[in-house]
Amino acid sequence: MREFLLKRTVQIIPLILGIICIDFLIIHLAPGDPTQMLGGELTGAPPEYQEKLRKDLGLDKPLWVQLFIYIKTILSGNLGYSFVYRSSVFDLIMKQVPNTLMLILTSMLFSIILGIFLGVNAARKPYSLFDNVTTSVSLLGYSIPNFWLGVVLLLVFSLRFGIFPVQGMYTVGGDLTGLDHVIDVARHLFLPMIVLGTSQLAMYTRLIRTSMLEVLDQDYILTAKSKGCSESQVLFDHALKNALLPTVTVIGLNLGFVLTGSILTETVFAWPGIGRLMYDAIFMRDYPLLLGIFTLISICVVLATLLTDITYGFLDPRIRYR
Amino acid sequence: MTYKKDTQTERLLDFWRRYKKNRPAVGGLFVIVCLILVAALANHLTSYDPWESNFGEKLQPPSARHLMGTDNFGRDVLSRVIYGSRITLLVGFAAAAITISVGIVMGALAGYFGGIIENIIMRITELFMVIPTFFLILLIVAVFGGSIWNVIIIIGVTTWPGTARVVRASFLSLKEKEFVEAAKLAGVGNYRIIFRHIIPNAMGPVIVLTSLRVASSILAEAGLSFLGLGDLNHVTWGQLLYKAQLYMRISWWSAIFPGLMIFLAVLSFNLVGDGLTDALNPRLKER
Repeated sequence: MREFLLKRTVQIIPLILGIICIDFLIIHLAPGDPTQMLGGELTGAPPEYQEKLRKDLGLDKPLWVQLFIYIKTILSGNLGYSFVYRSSVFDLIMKQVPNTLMLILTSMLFSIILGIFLGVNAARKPYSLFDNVTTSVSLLGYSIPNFWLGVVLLLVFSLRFGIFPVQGMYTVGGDLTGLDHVIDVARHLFLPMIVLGTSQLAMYTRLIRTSMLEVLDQDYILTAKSKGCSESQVLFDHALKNALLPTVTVIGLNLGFVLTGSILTETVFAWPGIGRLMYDAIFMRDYPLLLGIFTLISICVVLATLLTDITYGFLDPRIRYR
Repeated sequence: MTYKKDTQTERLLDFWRRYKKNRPAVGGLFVIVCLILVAALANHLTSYDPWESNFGEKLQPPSARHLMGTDNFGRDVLSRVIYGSRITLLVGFAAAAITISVGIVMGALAGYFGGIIENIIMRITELFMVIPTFFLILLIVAVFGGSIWNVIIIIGVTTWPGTARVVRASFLSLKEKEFVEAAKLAGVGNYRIIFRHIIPNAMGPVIVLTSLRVASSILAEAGLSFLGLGDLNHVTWGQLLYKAQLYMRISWWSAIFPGLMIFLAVLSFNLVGDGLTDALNPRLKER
């Protein structure tokens, strides 16, 4: 087990270095001088700051030394400085992380739970009406652009019927506290959560249906049935446990996909997360912030794949000894 | 010669027989053909100029005169959607063409030559498979500018690794086959073996991927436009949706219809991809 953990951990090192190299490449290929780009195009950083950047980046040194300096800087957690906000990029991102996490985690939970329910019931009677409807709807859900779905739901539920608040994360000027505040946030969270969860839900439903059908075909299911287990026992205790294994991998590997969806969803609903920060950074041409978000998100996704690998190794001993 | 032709038509017919069993995929193909026709015949399909403002008719709801209503400049939304299909489809097909070509070449090099070339290419694909590509596309477009060809090229060169992996896998098994051995013994050069003998046999999964790539490229362009990073000089469905956001409260129609078209196009290309998978791998289906 220890060897397995070590091997997997070592494997992510080139990935993280690769991400930093991409950053380096972009900084150096960008139109103009790296100091111009990192100073922010619209804000016009003062010459002293550009001079400091030049020194920090080691721009007078050979390229490979610059790369080395850059890798060291990033790995020490210094993602740069945003001149637009007059704040370090890392702090800016960290301020928004909890909001994005709230949105992402609730959408994952929503789609996994509903996906298990739909997938299991669809697999119970393949090609029944329920199965056919579920399969076709999940096909639609997989292709629907989530920013458009967001706009549609916003138009219908918020603007037309006023069931849900329009945008943001809480009622501005409401000054709610305690339980009222929680309910207020939950009401704001509901639509973005559905929007971000839809494509995941479609994916999990299809995946669980397929792997349930595969598992239900196995001999041990026949054994369970013949020894008199009830249908729900067979479905949930014997079949689902095994069918969930491939889903676990997909959940972990989906993080990048969900984060992508989250930028667009947050933009539609003005949810104050990383996506919103990114949207503003694009508008302000705040390149250090954009670079920082890309770097941090990519590293998180790499770590998530590592975590997925390890979890899978724990759940399925065959992987460990390969 | 005639014999060869017969087997080819035969194979195509056989392929179509398998493809048309998947009814949603046939529907998807139909929609795509319609979209291409609409894009090609755009100037004959509408009498409204999609660029000319007409403030007398601004923000009108859908009616017999304007089936999809008018926008804040009084322009007919339907004709903007019709013209928008041109650039949107161009982005989808051109970006997919770039990804697929780069992917084929990279995958072929890795699979055929092995060794250090394979190692380098595979490390790069691993990296690109892990990082969230849309963030990278967004970053590069933001830094280098979002002209329509920039967007196409950037989508193209950041998404090839998926194809490369598939092509490499096919190459690994195909290069051990007798016909490659025979070609080598007959003194055929590497270049010719790769392009004439192996690639045609490895095209199946690539064709499926192409369809899915067109869908994801359209989606990527729409996403970029929605974040304000698109090319403002061209009308695409993503641009229309982006610009409609500001007036969403008073005119739902200018936001709904362009988005619906994106949805329809993406869905159709995904359905066709599904159908192609079934038709190209009959064995998979029989299980």
